[in-house]
Amino acid sequence: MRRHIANGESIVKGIVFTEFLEFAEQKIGAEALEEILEACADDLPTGGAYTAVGTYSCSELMTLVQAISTHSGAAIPQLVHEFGEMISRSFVALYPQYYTRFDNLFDFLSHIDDYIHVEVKKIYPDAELPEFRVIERSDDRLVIDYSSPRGLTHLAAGMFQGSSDYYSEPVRIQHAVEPAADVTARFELSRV
Amino acid sequence: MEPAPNKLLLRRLEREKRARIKAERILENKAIELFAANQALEKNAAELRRKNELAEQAARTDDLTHLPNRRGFFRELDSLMQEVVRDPESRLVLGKIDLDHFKKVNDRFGHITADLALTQFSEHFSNCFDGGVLGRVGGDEFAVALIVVKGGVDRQAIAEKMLRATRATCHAAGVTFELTASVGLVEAGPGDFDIDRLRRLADIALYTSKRKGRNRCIWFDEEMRTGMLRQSLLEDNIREAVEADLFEPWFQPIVGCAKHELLSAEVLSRWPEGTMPNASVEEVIRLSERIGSIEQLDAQVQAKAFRKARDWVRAGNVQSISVNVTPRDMLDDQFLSKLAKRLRAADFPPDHLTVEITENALFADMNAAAAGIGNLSALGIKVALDDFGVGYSNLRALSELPIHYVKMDRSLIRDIAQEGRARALAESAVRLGVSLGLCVVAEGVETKDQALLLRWFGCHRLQGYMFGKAVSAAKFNDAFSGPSKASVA
Repeated sequence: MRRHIANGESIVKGIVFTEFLEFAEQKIGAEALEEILEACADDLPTGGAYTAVGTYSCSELMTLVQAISTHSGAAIPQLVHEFGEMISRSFVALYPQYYTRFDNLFDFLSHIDDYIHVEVKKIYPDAELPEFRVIERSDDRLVIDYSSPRGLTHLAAGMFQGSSDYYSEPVRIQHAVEPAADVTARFELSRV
Repeated sequence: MEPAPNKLLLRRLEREKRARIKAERILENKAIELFAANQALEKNAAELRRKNELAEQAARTDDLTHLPNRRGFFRELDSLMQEVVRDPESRLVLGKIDLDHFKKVNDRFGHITADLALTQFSEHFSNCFDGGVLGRVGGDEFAVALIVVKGGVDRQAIAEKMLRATRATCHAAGVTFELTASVGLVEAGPGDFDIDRLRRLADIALYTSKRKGRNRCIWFDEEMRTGMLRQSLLEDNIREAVEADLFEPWFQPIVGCAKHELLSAEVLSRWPEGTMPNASVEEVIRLSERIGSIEQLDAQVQAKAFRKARDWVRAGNVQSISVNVTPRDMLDDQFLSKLAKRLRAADFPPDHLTVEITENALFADMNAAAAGIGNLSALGIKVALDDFGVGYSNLRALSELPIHYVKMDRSLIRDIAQEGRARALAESAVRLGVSLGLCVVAEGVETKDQALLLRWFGCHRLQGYMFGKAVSAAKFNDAFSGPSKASVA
């Protein structure tokens, strides 16, 4: 069962927020970011003051994504995908052990739930983590289901991309047309 | 003039300050949480350690006496050894203690009383023998270890003290009885620590103490080990010889007292030359009993003896032969049927067989003995009371048990030609047997004077070197088939 913060909304680890602000600053500059934060103050209970060790409502992230998208003119899916790539690079720098443990991209992606998320839960028992379930796997193709109440499909795709860059294993990432009812999205990764 | 603070920077500073304060609060709460968790963990760990220590302590302690048990004792011994290693002038003494005949306490008074006795013994020992570590290392086995710091080990003083400590008066369930123990001691210095070796040496000393009659304290010496090695070699040889059916019956003549004519022969077990160096017959028999080979050995020798003597008996060369029976045989329900089976297999007539039984075997349980003898008699087998005159020589049993022969022990005969008192004693013993209607046989007859005196006392038969030592079946056969048939000497 998923846990939620008091108002029933889904929660997100603070590191996603701090990384997103970093991403936004790179994208639109520090000044514009501060202005957006001020402009959105009413919709941001924290006032945009995030710490990596905290946990915040997912709706704040959505507010920020929307605001940055509006300001930059970038479509939300594209923006979130880019952020996924960036946060993936950050994770490589912050938690290299999770990546070096595996020799290749498919192995890494196949063990997100049974290894990486297990380790994350040890440190952050309250973390709400998405689920990644391998449906099919061959040498050249991986079909993987993503399930999350936050529905951050493009973030997941961006992180797949970032991981592919780390392992220097180029893949084409496609969304399956109709995932199963309890699955947020089905991805098909094919080597190129 | 300082530039006006950038509004943007101020906002960012303010935002980051809030984030930092939030982070600090989170981290502080986390730290408190961790501290509490750590405290709980430490408490749990301490509790676990305490439980482990208690369990460990229990695993090293004897429930009954609260002394260290085998495991606990040898652990203590190990740490005493470390102490001795640190002080080169000191010596370690290890003692193994076995309570004497404790099984009888169990049998007579029951386990509860026996357990109380063990507790009282351990308390008595601990009170009398301070400065050492006592452990209960088996049912009625204890061990003690102590360090002698300086001036060498006063063996006599330690032995005396140990003996006093092991002599305990027990009061339990309305009965009072004395406990004694056999003790084997060994000492070692820092240079010769090998715990297994020390245990073995103490066991050798303990074994020697038991062999010498128990209720004593004996220090290990090298001679004991040589003796043990020799004994162990003999035991191996006995096992092998029994396994290969190498023991043979030898025959010692028993003659008539008046004419010294051959009447009978006692069957004695002999082994092939060279297999039991320097061992006496008694030693081989005793060791065979110890290692549990005696029954097989006797069966093999008897089977051969019956086959060889069958023709002598039929030809009238001897009236009978006699074989020795152990106390163990008398307690064996199957003994009679096994003996009868051997006789049948050899086609030996049972009424030409005598079994010689020592009085110890008979007097332990008179009713059982009478029944056993009755069963033998029913087959036609005669019974001789062996070694009469040593041990208790229960005269009532002599008159009441349905025996046929009484064999006077050689110790009664030895001095009759030289000493009046010995002569009087032997004469009385012979006359007693005669007056009870028994056939009296004197053993160990070596001189003509002894033979003459015994004839005068009224003795019926004689056995001893004067008439021949035990010889092989072939030599025995030669003796009565040759020209000098009248005497086998």
